[in-house]
Amino acid sequence: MGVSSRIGVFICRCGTEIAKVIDTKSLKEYAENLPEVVYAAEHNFLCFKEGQEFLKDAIEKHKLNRIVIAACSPRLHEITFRRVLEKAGLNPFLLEIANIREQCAWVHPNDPEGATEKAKHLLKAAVLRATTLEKIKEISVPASFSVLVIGGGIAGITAALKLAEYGFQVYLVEKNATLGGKVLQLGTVFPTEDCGVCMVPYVLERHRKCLFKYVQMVLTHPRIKVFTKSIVENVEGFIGNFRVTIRKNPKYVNEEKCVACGICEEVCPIEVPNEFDLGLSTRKAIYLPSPHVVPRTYIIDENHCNRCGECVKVCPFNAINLDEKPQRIELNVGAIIVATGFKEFEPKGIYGYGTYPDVITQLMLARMLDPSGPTGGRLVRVSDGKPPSKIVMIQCVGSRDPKTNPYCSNICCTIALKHARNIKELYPEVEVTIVYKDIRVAGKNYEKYYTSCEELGVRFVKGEVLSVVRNPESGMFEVELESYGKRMKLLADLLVLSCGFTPSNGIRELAEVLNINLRQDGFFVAAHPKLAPIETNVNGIFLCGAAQGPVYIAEAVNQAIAASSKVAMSLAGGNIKTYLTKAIVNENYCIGCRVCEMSCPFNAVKVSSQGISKVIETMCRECGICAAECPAGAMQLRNYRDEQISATIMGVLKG
Amino acid sequence: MRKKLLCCDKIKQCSIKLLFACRTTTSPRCTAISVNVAFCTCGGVLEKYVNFNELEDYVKRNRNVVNVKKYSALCTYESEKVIQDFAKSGAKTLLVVACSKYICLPMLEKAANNLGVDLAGLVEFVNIREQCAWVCNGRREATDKAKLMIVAELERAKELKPVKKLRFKVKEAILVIGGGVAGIQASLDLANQGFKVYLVESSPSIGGTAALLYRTFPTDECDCAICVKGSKMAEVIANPNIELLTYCEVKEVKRYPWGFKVKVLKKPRYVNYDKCTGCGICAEKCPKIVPNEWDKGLSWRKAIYIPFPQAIPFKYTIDSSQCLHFTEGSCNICEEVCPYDAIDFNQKPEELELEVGAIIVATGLEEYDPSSLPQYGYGKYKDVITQLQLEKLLDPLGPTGGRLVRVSDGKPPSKIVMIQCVGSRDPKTNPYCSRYCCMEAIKNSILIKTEHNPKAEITILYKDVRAYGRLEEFYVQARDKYGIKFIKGEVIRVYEDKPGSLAVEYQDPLGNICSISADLVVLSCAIVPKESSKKLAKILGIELDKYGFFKELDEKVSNVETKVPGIFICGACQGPKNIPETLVQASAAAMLAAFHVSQYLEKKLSPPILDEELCARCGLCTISCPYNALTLTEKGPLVDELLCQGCGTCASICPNNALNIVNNTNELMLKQIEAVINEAKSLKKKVLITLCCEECAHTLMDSIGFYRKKYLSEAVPIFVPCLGFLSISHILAALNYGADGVLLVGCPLERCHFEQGARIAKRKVELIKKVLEEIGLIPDKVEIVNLSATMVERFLEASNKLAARLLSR
Repeated sequence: MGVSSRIGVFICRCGTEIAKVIDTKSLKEYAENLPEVVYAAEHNFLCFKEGQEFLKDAIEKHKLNRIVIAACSPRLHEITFRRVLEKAGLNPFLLEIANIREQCAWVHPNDPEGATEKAKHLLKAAVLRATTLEKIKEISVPASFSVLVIGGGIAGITAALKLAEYGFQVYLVEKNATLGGKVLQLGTVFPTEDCGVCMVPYVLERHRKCLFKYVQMVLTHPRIKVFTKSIVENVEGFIGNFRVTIRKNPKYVNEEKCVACGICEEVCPIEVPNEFDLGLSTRKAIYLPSPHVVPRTYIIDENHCNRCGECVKVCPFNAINLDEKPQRIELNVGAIIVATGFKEFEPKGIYGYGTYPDVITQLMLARMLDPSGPTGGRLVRVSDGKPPSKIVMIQCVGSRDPKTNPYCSNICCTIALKHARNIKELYPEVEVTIVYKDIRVAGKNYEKYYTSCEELGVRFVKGEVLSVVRNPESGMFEVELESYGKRMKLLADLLVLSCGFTPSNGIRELAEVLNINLRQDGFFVAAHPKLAPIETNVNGIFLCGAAQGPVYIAEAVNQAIAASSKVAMSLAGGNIKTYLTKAIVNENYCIGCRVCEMSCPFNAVKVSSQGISKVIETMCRECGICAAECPAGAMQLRNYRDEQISATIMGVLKG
Repeated sequence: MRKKLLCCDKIKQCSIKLLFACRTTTSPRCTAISVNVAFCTCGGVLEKYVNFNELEDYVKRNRNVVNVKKYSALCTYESEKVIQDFAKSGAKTLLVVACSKYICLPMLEKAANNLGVDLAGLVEFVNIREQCAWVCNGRREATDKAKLMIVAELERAKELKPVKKLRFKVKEAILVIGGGVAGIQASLDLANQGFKVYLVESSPSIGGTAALLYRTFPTDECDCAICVKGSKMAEVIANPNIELLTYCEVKEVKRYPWGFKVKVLKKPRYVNYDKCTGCGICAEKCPKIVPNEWDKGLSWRKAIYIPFPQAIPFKYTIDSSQCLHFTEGSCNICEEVCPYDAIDFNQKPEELELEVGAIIVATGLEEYDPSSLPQYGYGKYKDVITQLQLEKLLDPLGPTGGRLVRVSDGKPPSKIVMIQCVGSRDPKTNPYCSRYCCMEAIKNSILIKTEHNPKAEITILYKDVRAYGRLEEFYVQARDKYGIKFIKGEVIRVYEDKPGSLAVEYQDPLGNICSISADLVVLSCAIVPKESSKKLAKILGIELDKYGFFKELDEKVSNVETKVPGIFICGACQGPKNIPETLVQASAAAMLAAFHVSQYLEKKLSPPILDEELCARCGLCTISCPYNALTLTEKGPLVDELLCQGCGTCASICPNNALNIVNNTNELMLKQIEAVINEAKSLKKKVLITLCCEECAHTLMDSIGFYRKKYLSEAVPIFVPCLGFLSISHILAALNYGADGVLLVGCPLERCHFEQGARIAKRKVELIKKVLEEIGLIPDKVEIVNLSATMVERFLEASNKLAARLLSR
C-alpha cells in the first residue's frame, strides 16, 4: 500500500502431497504473471531447514518485500515462516499463506484439473492481499509489577501468598473486617476431617501449616498490603496499568494499635446475635467475630454501637476512634484477581426456616459441630438446648430448583455426609436420615463418605419433599415426601436444610466496576470453560475460587495458584508485549458515536472526552466487531482492513 | 509404605533401664549462652492477671540472664525497640514472655528485618497471655504457672544456636512427563513464561485421551474436542521453548541439590524423523493389519502407522511388536516404497540425559477394562461397548465416518442402554467414583439424539446422577428436552435374550427385578491409573495412594505437590477428573514448578546431628523417616537436608540416642522437664508435664486462651516440633523426676502434620502404660490426647478428667 511491492511466490510441492494433484509447474507460471510478482519458485519442502534457507536466500537475492507461500495450512507453519522473514530482515507480517493442501489438494484428490484451477484462484487472492499487507510492530507497554486480589478467603489468601513469594507487590482487599472467609466457620472440612484452617506448605516445607499461624505472615509479609473492611470502588485502565480506587470503611479500631486484650469487650453494654455463629451465640458491639480471625483486632459494629464511649475510656492503647471516617486509597496495579467467594442460600420461608428455630442450615450445623463453636461441639436443638433424637437432612434446598437456583451447588452432598458421619460417630443413638435427589460425592476422595455413612447407619431416602409441618403437640416436624411413587412421612426434632450457595453480596456492583461478565445465575463467568477457565473477558482480570461457582477447597486452592500463574505469565518481565494486529481508529472519520465502545466485549475501546475513540491495544482481542459496527468506517482491524478483504475477494473471483 | 515400629520387648528393656538409670545431669553453666528477657504487659492489662514484678525478679536470679525489660506492646509499636534493646544488650538469645508466639514472632521478624538484624532461631517464646493469664483461676496460679513455663524456656534459650539456612537455586528447566492435555497445558504455561521445557511422551504423538474425543462438555452444544486439542497441540510444536520428545520414556531419575538428572530412553521408530514427511505411502503398502488403539479397537491400522490424523509430530512409527520385518524376519516393503529413504530397520534406542530443576508428572489415565466383570458381557457380546468406543463411533473422523452403528451387523441401533459405575463405586474393583462418567453418558446421549437418531430410545441405568455444579443443566436438558430415560438401579447382568438382541437385567431400589431390551449396551467404565505408574513412582521416588494414583502431598490444600520438593503431579494421574479441572490443576502445577526453578529457595534447617560413635547402624531411623530423608551408609545415616522436615521421629526412635535435632536435643528435653519439676517442687505445686506439638497442639493451647476457658494450672506446656520427637525415656524421666503426670497433646491421628508422629506417640503411650503396670507403677499417670486446633471443649474434658484422677490423690 503506497509502497511498490516486490512479491515473491513460493509454491511448495510438499514432496508429492500437493504435487500429485496440483500441477505446480503451471501454478508457478501463472504466478509469474500476477501483478507485482517479481519472482516465483517451486520447492519440495519449504518447511524443512533446507527449504527455509532457500526462502531466506531468495528474499535477499531478489530483494523481495512481500512473500506469498502456497503450501499446507498456516496453522502448521505460519510461525515458522514468519521467523524466516525476520531472519531475512523483513517484518514477519509481510507474509501471506495460501492453503493449497488441506483446503485444495487433499480434498479434491480425484480432480487434478479442478484442484489446480482452484489453487490458481487461491493464489491470486493471496497475491492481491499481499499487495495490501502492512508492517506490524510489536509494542512493549511497561506494566506495574503488582496485583490486586479482591477477596480474602482461602482462595484470595493463597493467590496473595503465591504472588508475593514470586516477587509481586500484592494488595489484598476484603470487604469484611477480617480475613479467612468461610473456612473459619466450617469446624472440620472434607476430605481430611481436620480444621478448615490448614494451609498450603511453604515452598520447601513438606508439612501443612496452620492458617492461623501462616496468615499472620500475610499481615507481615513485606510485599502484601491488606485492606480489610474495604471495597473496590472504581477501576480504570488496562492490563499492566489498572488504576484502582479502594474505599476503606472505618473499623473504628486502629489495627496497628489493638493487641486484642479484650478490655473493651468487657465494658461494652450492647449485646447482639453473632453473625459468625449464625445467631447461635451473641457478641458485643465491639467484638472479634471469632478468636481465629486475622487480623486479630477488634471491630465496632456501627449499626449497633450506641457511642457510649466506655471502650474508648478503658483501651490502654487509645486504639479506638469512634469518629473514624472512610478513606479512599488509589492504587496502580498490573493485574486483578477476583476471589470473592460465595454465601449460603437463605431459605426464607422454605420448610419452616425462620419460623421454627429447630429448622437450621448446614452452616449452622457446622457451627454447632465445630469443637470451638458456640455449643463447644455439642449437638443441641436451638429451641431448648436439649440433644435431638431424630435428625432429617433435606438436600438441594435452593439448588436444582427452577424456582430458586437451577444449578447444582456441587458441595452440599459432601457437607451433609460429613456432618451425618460426624453426628453418628459422636451420638450413635441419634437417627439421621438424608432425603436426596442424587448423592453427588464425585471423585476419588469423597465416595468414602457415602460408604462410611451407610455403615454407620445413616438412612438415605431418595425422594421429593412435599411439605414440612410441625405438630404442636408432639413438637416434632413431619416431613411428607414422595419416594419412588409412594408417599411417606418422616419425623424429626431437628431439621437440617442443605442449602445451595449463591454469589457473595456486592457481586453485581463489582462486575460493573470491573466490566467483567456474570452468568445468569449471578456468578462470574470465565472466558472459556476449557481454553480459558481462569481468564475473563477483560485482559488482566482473573477469577478463582467460589467466585465462579461453589467448589471444594482443593479446587479453590488450585484455581488460586493457576490464577497467580496467569498473572505471572502476563506480567513477567515487567512489560506487556503484543503485536499490533489490533483495531485502529482513523481519527479523521470518527464521529464519537460510541458504538465501538459499547459493542466491544473486551473493554478495549474507549471514547475520550474529546469524542474520539481510542483502542487500548493490550486489551484488544482482534475480533473485529468494532470495525464491523462502526457506521463511519473509521474503525479498521489491521491486517483485515476493508480494502484487504476486498482484495482477497477480488482475487478469488477473478481467478 | 508401612513403617515397622520397635517391638514391645525391646522398648520394655530400654525403658526399664532408663527408668532406673536416669539421673539429672547438668552441663556446666559457664558455657551456656546469655539471654535477654523481654516481658510484655499488653498495655498493662496483664498486670491484673500476673505479677510481673515477681516474674522479673525471678528471671533476674538466673545466672544466664543478662538483661530484663518490660514492654507494653511489643507486638505493635514497640517491636523495633525490643530488637534494638536486644542488640544492645549483648545477649546471644532473646526470650519473649508475651502473648501467642504466632502473633509476636512475625511482628518481631518484620522489625528485625527493618533493622537488619537476623533473629534466625535465636528467639524463644513463653505465652503468658493465652496459655497462662487467660486460662488460670487467679493471679497466684497464673504467676506460678508463668514461672514454670519460663523456667522451661530459659533452659532452651540458654542453648539456642543460630539456625542454618540453605539457600540455593535449581536448574531453570522443567521436565513434563506425559503429553496429554495436562502435560500440554503445563508445558505451555511454563514455556510462555520463558522457561525451557522438555515434554516427554511415551506414545508416538502428544494428545492423550483428549485426542480421542469428538465433543466435550461443558460448553453449550458441547464444543469439539479439536478446538482444545488442536489449538493447544499446535502451540506446543510452535513454541521454541518446548523440546518435544515423543516415543520416549523416563528411565532413571537422580536427585541432586541443583535439581534432577534424568535418563530418557528414546525408543526407535525405525523411521528417520527428519526424513519422514508423513506422505503415507508406507502405510498404504504395509501388509500387516493391527487393531487401532486410537479407535479403541473398532478399526484397523497398519504395523507402520501414525496414531491419528492430527498427530503431532506427524511422523510414522513402526510397531515392532507387530511388524513382519521384526516378528518374522521377512518384509521390507515400506523401505522399498518410501520416496525419502526414511525407513531404518537398524535404528537403535538412544539414551538422552536431561538436567532439570523440577518435574511435573502428567501421565493421565486408562479406561477400566470391563472384561474382568463378566456380568456385563463385554468381550462376549459385540454390541456391548465402552463410552470411549461409543465416542469413536460418533466421531465423524472415526472408524465409521460418524455413523452410529452396531459393531455386530453395522445396523443403526434404536434402543441404547448405558450402564453407569462399571468398575467404579465398587469395593471389589475400584471403590472411588470416577467423576466424569455421568457427564460422559449424558453428553453422548444428547449427541445421539441431536446428530444421529432423534427417535432413539436411550436409557441410562445409574446409582446417582452426578451432574454436579453447572453440569446440572445438561442433565435437565437430557431428561426433559431430549427424553432420555434415567433409571436408578443395580445392574445384575447383560445377556442375549434373542439372537442379535441384548437385555439388561437390574434390580430397582424397591427390590424388583426388571429388564430392558437393547440393541446396543454402553458401559461407563471407571478411570484407572496407568499400569506404568508403579514403575514411574519408583523411578521418581514418589508414592502412590491406595488406589494406585500418584499420591498428593495433601488432599485438601496441596494436591499438585508430592513429598519430594520439586516433583509435582497434575491431571488424571492424580485422580479422576474432567478436562476443565485438569487444565486448572496443570496451571497450578506449572506455577509451583516455575516458582521452584526461578527463585532462590530458602530453607531453615533443623536436621538431626549424628554422633557416629553411638550409632549402631541399625537403620531404624532410616525406615522410620516419613520423608525418606535418611539413607543408611557405613558411617551411619546420611541426612538429605532438602527432604528433612525436622520432626524428630528419627531422633526418638534411635535406641542409642545417637541422633539429636538441632536446638531440640534429647538432653535439652530432659533438662527442661527436670527444671520445671524442680521449680514446681520449690513452689509446692503439683505439676502435670504437658508435652505439646508445635503444630495443632500449640494452636490449640492458644485457642483455649482465646475463648478464656479455664483449665488446671498444673498443666505446664513444653513444646516439641512433633510428638514423634518424644521418646519413651523423656516420658519416663518426667515421672522419675517426680511429675504428677504427663500429658501428650498432638495432632489428630490421621492428620499429623508430619505424617506419623501422632500415631507413633500414641503407640508409645500405650506401651508405657503397659510397662508401668508391669513394674507396679500407676499406668494412668501418662495420657495422650489427639486433637486439632479448634477442639477446645474436648481438651477441657480430657484435662479435667486427668486432674480429677491425678491431682486429688
